[in-house]
Amino acid sequence: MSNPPSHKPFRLSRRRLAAWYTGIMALILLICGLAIHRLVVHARWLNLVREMQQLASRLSNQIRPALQQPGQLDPMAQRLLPNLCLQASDCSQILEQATQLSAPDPIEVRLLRNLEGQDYCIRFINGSRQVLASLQLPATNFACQEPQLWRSFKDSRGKYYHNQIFPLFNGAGENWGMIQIAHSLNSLDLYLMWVELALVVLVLLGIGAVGLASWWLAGLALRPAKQSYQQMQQFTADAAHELRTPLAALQAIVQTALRSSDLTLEEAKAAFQILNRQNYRLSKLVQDLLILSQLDQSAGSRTLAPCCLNSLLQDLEDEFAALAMAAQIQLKFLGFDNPVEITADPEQIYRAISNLLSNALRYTSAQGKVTIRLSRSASHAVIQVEDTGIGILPDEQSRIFDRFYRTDQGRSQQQGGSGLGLAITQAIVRQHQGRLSLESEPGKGSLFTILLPLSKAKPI
Amino acid sequence: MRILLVEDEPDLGTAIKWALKQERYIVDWAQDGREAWEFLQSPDLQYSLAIFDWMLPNVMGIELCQRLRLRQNRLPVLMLTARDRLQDRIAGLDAGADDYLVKPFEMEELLARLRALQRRSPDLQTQQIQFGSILLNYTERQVYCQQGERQVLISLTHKEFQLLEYFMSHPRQTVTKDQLLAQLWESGSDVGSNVVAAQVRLLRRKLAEQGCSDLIETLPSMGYRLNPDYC
Repeated sequence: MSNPPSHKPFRLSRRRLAAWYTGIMALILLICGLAIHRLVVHARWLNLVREMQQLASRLSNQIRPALQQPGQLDPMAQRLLPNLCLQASDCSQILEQATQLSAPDPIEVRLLRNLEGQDYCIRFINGSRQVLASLQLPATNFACQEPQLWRSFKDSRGKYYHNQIFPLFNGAGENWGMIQIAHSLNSLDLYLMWVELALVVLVLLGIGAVGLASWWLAGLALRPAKQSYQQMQQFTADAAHELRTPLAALQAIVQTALRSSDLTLEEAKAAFQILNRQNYRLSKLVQDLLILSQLDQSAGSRTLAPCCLNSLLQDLEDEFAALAMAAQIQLKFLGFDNPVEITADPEQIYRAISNLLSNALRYTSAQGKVTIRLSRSASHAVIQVEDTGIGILPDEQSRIFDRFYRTDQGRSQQQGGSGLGLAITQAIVRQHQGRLSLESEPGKGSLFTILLPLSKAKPI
Repeated sequence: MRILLVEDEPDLGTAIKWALKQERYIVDWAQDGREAWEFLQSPDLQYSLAIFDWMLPNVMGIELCQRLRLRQNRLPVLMLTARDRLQDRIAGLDAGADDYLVKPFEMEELLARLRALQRRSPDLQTQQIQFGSILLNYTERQVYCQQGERQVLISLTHKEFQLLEYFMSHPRQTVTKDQLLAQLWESGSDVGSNVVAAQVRLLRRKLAEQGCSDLIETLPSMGYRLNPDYC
């Protein structure tokens, strides 16, 4: 059964993580977009200026024969540039002629490589800043109707013009005056508008894609955290359950004894036995919980010492001998002739094997056998604890190392124990870079094998 | 009144059984789900209440509950468990439990809840029954003798009370010794029908002290019944 409230902090973290990620990526995308925009504007501007320079040089080549006298325009200029409007004459006629023409003037075509969307006003100015003639390219636009000359301006149709002045030289290389070229910016504006639109769409799409990706990534990143959080919750719930059971028995027996009006000595004794048993069970549970939490906290920060398994296992056999005898179980230790040394925390190793042994004795009936075996492979010490007890069902074998897990059979036998013994053993073995494995057949017995790396100082 | 207690913790089970016996209930205690189901299936055993632990070997308490309800059995069930999460309580009640108590619990509360279940159960709704001048109060689990305006408490042992309770809830019926043995003694207890006869004798004597000597009539080679002629 899942616990909906426990998912809340994760959904919140996921949302925050995704939002921050998307926000930062959006900012980066936006900066990139602006930079691209600036680069495009700059490149187009340079292009525009170059075009104007080229036009100025083509125009000056065309009109050069009419520039004999500095500051004076020869009337033959009208022939060189048919649409040229000399300031003395009326220019409206020229405009009218041009509008009626179906094909563009061939000279204009030569001057302007691209007629589309390019409006120019060109003025020929002498040294004393007098406008001597003006030319509209193509002849159909109204750029030159504007009286303003010297800066960027807007014509009567709302088009913006950029203007620039270039010096004009005659055939003899003398400075004749100036040529002013005003270039309409409408094609540039149109181009930039498309660029901006494309950039906005791309940036928005990018932000959308980043948002989706970061939601997915945040989920991926939080999954292990969520898993361990759920495990922790399960563990806490299990621990509470395990603590409650003895507490419930304690409370029930005390209250029943107290409300009994005629408590016999026998009943009182039975009640005290229960109190004693449950109290022991609580203490053992608390102790095991402490050991586990220490193991969880101090991964890798233990004091390791050389540890001779031969004598450690002998000590264990001695400790459990009395218990085995009382349960009428034959306990045997099959040692190894050569010393088997590992680098470990001896107390922990002792505890790990002692848990296996007490399980073996607990689930083996009278006349059964429990055997401790020590041997050695090329790189590992091999410790085996074998019993002829109740065994473990195949589908339960993977779960018995879980904290608080008890097999149905184990639970119904009511043999005490905290349900943490195997979890502690496994945690200790893992901390020592070892392996714990199990072979078992229900009804026949179990064989637990611990592999621990041998001391490197003493190779075989 | 017979209660089925299903609890796999031996010490807790001992304590609950002890408390229930003090309250004059007859208690059958099953330590795992399968055993509990056998008790429930047994035709000789009529349970008035059941206490199920949630976590049980073999068959879970919640499954026992579901099985009972599937068979249209309306036995009042109190679920006892260390699980106290909201979902667990809901799951327990939805499975068909009538009440839910979280471990550790107050023994007085458990007993009070059992009394409440008893009151709510359609079969056990009566608070007290009267036969002639004998008055049996289910909730107090005491027997009184009506003497004019006064009610005099008749001090009975647990077994005597259970006998009288059984007779009074089956008035005018002939009750055999075997029936009494099956209903009032715990399953598996090693007693013979002479023990039943002895208990009936003891109960008669106590009733005679209050002037009700003829309440329980012996029908030779058949059994007993409450005397219909009793005033």
